[in-house]
Amino acid sequence: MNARILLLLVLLTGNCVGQDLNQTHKLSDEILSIFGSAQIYLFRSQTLINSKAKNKDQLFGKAFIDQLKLIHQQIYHSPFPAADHPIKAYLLNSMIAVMDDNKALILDKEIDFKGFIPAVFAFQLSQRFSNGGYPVSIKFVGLKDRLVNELNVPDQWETSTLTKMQGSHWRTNEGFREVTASKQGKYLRTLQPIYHKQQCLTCHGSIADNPVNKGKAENTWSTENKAGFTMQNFKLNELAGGVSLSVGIDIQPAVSNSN
Amino acid sequence: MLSETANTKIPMRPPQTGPVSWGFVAAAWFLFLGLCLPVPFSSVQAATANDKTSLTIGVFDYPPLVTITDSGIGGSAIEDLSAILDEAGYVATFRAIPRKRLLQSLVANNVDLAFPLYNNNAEGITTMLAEPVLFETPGLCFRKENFVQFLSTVKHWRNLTTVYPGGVEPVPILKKYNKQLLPIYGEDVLDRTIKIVISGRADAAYVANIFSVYNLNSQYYRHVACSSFFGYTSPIYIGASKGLANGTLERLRQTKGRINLYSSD
Repeated sequence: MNARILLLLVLLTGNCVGQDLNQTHKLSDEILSIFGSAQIYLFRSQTLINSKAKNKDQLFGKAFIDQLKLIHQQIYHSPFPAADHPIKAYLLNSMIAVMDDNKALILDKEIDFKGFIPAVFAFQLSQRFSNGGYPVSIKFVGLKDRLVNELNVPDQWETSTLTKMQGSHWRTNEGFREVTASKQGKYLRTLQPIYHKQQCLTCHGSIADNPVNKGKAENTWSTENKAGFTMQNFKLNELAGGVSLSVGIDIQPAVSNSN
Repeated sequence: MLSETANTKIPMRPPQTGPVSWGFVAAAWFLFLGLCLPVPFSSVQAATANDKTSLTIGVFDYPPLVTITDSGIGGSAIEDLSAILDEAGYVATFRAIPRKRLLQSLVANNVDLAFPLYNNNAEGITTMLAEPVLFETPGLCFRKENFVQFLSTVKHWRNLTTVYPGGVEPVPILKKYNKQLLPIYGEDVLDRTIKIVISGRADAAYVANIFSVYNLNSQYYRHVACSSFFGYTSPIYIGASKGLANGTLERLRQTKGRINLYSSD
């Protein structure tokens, strides 16, 4: 009897993945806020990540998600979304898995600068989350002519949206969302802009912003940041790119049963 | 959230001596006795009735998750798959199949399951678990003092002498920019490749999955650190034959389990 109830629950959960537009809007908002919380937490945790501290438990497993809940409350002034949808549950599982994948690096005491920055987390998460069999994908996209990682190249829709966002009439922090159609079906696409804050400029700003050059004569300044990339000369609050999310509307997932 | 079994370490079950092999040895032995000795028929019947149904899993050498040597088939994925099947009420029988023929064997219903499977969209197959069981991420491993954090900075590795296990296809970006790529052949090829870097005879090693080399339990952890090639991650599945009974597949799917990615070396 219990097995039948379990099977029914699994079937019902599976059916919940295909959804209408309103549900997709809500789901998209929740995915973006979970993703945003993770980015902010990883940014704030760079000192811990690169330290030789023995206890880094808060970067892994349930403790990691607990930290995201705190950040979410601070930033979005709302409770962390419940894992009541297979896609949200898969996102949280994927986040934990990405942190686990990088555990050896994060706990490596012989490497001072680990390079496990929010963009790396985002890229690895995107690879897992977008290949899990659900009609959903999320990725970081940069401005086409100023990419650090050429794999973050925007597609046509993203390029045109980022161009609009670079315009002087675009309100800062305002995202863009629309329904698009492809051979696979309809998708609700969202692009949330990201702007360069002061702390971003240490790697993405001008040569003068490069901490490696502090206290050195100008003619000896390095054009390379500590990650080995050329400084990009971005200015404070300039558009950096965005987080691009695509969620299928009424598309049944390849995944038939989940979580 | 992650299932409880996700991080549970399953005790090593050597293929030559584990319950899988013993089940077959016992069955063969009873059969032999049945033919040659006057054993009462009822005792043979009782032994067979208690045996679990066996499922055949096709595998290829995929160290350290699957290692195929003269002494048999082993590795952490073999342990995990045995445990998953055991929990679902089946006995796992592993069969080594060349990499290029694994999918074909699954389609032809010569094996019930197949691991590792890269293509989950091929006709005539399905997957045991709906989601990928792991993600393979290729990358470069360096001695720790020479660690390169971001492989998108090509200039940091383009001139390095880089070795890789022969038979593995390096990612296009590596083949395009690194002109000192050297394949290593022979037995235990991954181990030899990494040890060449540790000894300083090469600067870097290309591996198909960095997490199997660079993890806290790895024997190489003290010496090397690895960076991934972004954008080349592949989802890996456990393939299932379409010939597998629906009830069997459902039972397997309801058994929560995953391949333990990390080596127990």
